[in-house]
Amino acid sequence: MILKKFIQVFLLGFLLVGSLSAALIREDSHQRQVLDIAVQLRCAVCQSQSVGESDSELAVEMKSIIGEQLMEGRNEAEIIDYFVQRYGDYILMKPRTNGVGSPLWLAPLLVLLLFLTAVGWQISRRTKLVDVENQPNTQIDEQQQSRLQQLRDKQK
Amino acid sequence: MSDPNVTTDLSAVAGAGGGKGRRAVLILIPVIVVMMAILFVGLTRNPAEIPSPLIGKALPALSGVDLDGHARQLPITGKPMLLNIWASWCSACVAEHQVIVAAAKHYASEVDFIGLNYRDKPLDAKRWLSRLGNPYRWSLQDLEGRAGIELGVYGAPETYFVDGEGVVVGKKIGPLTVEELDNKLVEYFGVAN
Repeated sequence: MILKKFIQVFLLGFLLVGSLSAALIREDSHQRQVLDIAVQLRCAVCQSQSVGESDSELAVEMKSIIGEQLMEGRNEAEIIDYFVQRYGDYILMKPRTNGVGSPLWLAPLLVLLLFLTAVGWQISRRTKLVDVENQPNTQIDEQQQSRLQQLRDKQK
Repeated sequence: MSDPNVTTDLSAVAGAGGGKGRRAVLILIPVIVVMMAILFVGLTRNPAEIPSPLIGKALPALSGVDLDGHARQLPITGKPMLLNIWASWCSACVAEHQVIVAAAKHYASEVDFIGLNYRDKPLDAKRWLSRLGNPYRWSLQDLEGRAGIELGVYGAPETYFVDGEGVVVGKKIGPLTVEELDNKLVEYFGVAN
């Protein structure tokens, strides 16, 4: 009898803990989703921080809007677009890769390319110089080259 | 190495190297000038002044109650509107307020002056208006700043200029001065100064 009661209580407790932690996990993943979106948005009143990092009133309100819109079934892109429509591209922590933002992303690549070209050019130029220095007599024309070959052939 | 050709070759190379140094300086100067120009423009701009994406678009529809509890809706059409975002806790709003009060008296027949009471306590807001004067036909309550987010508001004070069709034609972030407000009302709404 006592054992039966014990098992009943144990099972009840097990169920309670289980459902509670399930709820907590769901809450946790919702929070994480909110934060995932919030870190992509610039906090308007604390410009170098994201909404995710900020506890300013505006950021808190924006996070609760993100939460509500997630509950309504909107996806990440739609929610970010909601804020872009109101605050402009400025609200994005990462500038867009298309449109006005593209030079921002392309400029470093361009500089790197220029740098690599310059380095490559210098290396090839210097290699040529070294070649000239070590083999001063390689600069002979084709006539001399064929004559040399003839001489070598004779020696054999 | 004793070949005389080599020495002349090397000296020619050394001479070319000197020319290269001068050329490098010639390339660097415009680069530095361009960098300085970019920095000069970039660093003198105010990072808080961000153009609103709403300009040229319809003002988002807002509804709520004003400070007296009457149901109100935005946008109102028919007359150009100045929508001022203000709060009793906002110190910059105090300075701007006299400008708005004077303009509201001067342009009342041509422009509707509407307030958005941003993240404020209605009682504080009303007290503030009775102390400093009320230039607004009415002020919409925005207790949690939701209407502000709909409009893309960063903080008080901000001012939206909306034409008679409900289209946003201009926005000012921060307090307006007398000249600025006059100029903008003339520019956007063509009011007689």
